[in-house]
This record gives sequence, C-alpha cells and structure tokens, in this order.
Amino acid sequence: MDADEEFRWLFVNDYPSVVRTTYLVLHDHARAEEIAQDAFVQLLRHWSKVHQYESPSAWLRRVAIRLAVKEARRDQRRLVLTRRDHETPRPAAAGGPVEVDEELVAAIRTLSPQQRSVVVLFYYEDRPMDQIAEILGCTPATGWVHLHKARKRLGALLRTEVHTDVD
Amino acid sequence: MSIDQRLRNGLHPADPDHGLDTLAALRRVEQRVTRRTRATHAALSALVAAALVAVIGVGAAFQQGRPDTPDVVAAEPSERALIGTYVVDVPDSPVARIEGLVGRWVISLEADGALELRPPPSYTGATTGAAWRVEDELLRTDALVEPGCQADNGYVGTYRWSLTDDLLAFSLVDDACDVRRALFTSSAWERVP
Repeated sequence: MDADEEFRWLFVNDYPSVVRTTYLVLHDHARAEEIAQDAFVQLLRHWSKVHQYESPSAWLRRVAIRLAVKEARRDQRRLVLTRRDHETPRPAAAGGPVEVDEELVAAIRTLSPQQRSVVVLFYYEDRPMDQIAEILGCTPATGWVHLHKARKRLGALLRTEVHTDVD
Repeated sequence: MSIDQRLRNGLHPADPDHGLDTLAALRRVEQRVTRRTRATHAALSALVAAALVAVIGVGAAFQQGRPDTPDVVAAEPSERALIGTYVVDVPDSPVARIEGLVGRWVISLEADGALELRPPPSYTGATTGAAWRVEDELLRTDALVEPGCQADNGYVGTYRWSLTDDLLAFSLVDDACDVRRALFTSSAWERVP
C-alpha cells in the first residue's frame, strides 16, 4: 500500500469516529465535520512525516480535539461575555445524530468546554489522563479536577449515582 | 446505573455513520490540500515580486531624499490598548494563601479575546479557556471559573480598568468570586515586553 492509499484507508476508517468526537465537544454536526476535515487537511499536509509515526491516527485525533476545544472555547467567549444568562444552554442544532442516550448528551452540553472535553476524551476516546492533559494543555491534576466536577454535575443533572471508580 | 457506566455506554452513536458521506469528505480534503499547495506557490511568487518592487521603490525614494514616514496613524479602540502581556505579584492574604494565588502571575490579554494565565507554582487550578472583553471602561472576564469560581458563584466578573503608562489597574464593579477579585485588584498589572 503506497502513502496515498494508506491516507485514504485511514480517512475512511477514522473519519466517522473523529466527527463523533468533535461533535461531542461542539454539539453542532456541521461544524464537527468541518473541524474533522480541517484536522485531516493538516494530517495530509504533514503526511510524509506523520505516516511514519507509530500511530498517525493518534496524531490526527490530537489535532482534531485541539481544534474542537479551541472552537468550543471561542463559543464560550462569545456566549459568556455577551450576555449574562450564560447558564441557559443553546438548543441542539438541527440535523444532529440520533443519540443512544439523548438525556446524557443534552446534560454534557451544559458543561464548560474544558469539562466537556475531558469527559469526551476520557469516556468516549478512552484516553489516559496524562494524554488528556497534554491535549488540553493542563496538568493531569487539573484534568482530574475537571472530570470530578463534570461527573458531579452530570450526576446531579441526571439524578444518577456518582461512584468513584475513576478516582 | 452509575454515571460512569452511563457515560461509557451512552456516548457512542446509535448510527455510527449518521448520513456521513465519507468519500465526499475525503475528496474535499484532498482538493483543499491541492488548492493550498497551489496557493502557497502563487503567494511565494507574489512575495518575491513584491519584495523586488519594494527594493526598487525604497531605492528611488532614497535617491530623491524623501523621508519615508507614514501619513496616517490609526486610532486604537480601548480593547486594543490593553492587548499585551502583564505581570502581577499577588500579595499574601487569607484568600490568596488558601487558593495558592500568592506569587507572580504572568497574564496575557490576547487579541482574539483569550486570557492566558501563567500562575505561580502554588496555584493548582485550571488556567485554560479564559476570556476577556472590554466595553468602554469595563472589562468582563470568566478567568478562574474553575475551580476558583464556580458557575453558580460568579461565573463572570466585571472590573473598571485604567491604564497609566505600563500599569493596568482594576477596580471592582461586580464579581462574586473571591479568587478572581484577589488576582485583579490586589496589585496593578505591569506590562512587560
């Protein structure tokens, strides 16, 4: 398999799950696809180097998540600093995917971008906290604080028992 | 079901592809990279041409003995005046001690609205994702929302700012968050290059 074929194979294989990750951070399907494609554009531009890495997929996901987190923070700035009723969540974008657990995904939307990102990386991407911290540019201790607060808030919103099996 | 089990099971989509046209997306990505490569080559050519024109122009101006000074100075809105990097030494106080704030902070007010914080080693809270915005003499920020200031206790703080030479000082207008008040009002911020 040559380098181009290898890239296409990775694209077909990883694109849906990268879109899903960015969607869970942004909660906007169209922008999630844009961000995922931006990440693949970066991957293709650096493909001659990255395809030699042990896991080009991991490189791609780091880029995609960073872009999504940056976008989510930008959203937060626009929302929080322009109105005082920042606690009111925006309605879900039309045309989003059908969720297995609609209530859970809606509750995640109410988290801050940092908390949302940690939850997605930890539970959906199944990443260890040191990787999550590296992606988000914080210390692992801060990552654990975000996760702890997110679980507490989700537990309260969903009236679900919060165990300590990740602590 | 615990919240952990629910999170592990519930984040996966009911329909993994959800109407995604993966092959069309692949074509778009490949086209964008191709276009970008072409645009880069074109931009490099234009840059070389512009550099040549500039060299010729400067040479001609020098020969004519004309001073090369700009005619127009753009006015800066207040927000632009604050963009930059500052240091502030947060002094010891009960709040500052408990929250680990005491010491030197390096704070950047970025042009894109981001507020970057580099805290002293004693501070262990989150410093990412903060933002700032100025409306006239007021600055609003959500810095130190977590863990210092929770959403239900002062998500956004408002301060009146004044800039004298390189010193940026804040006075409290409205902020329920003790930690942020300590950072913003305990000492003036000094602009650094």
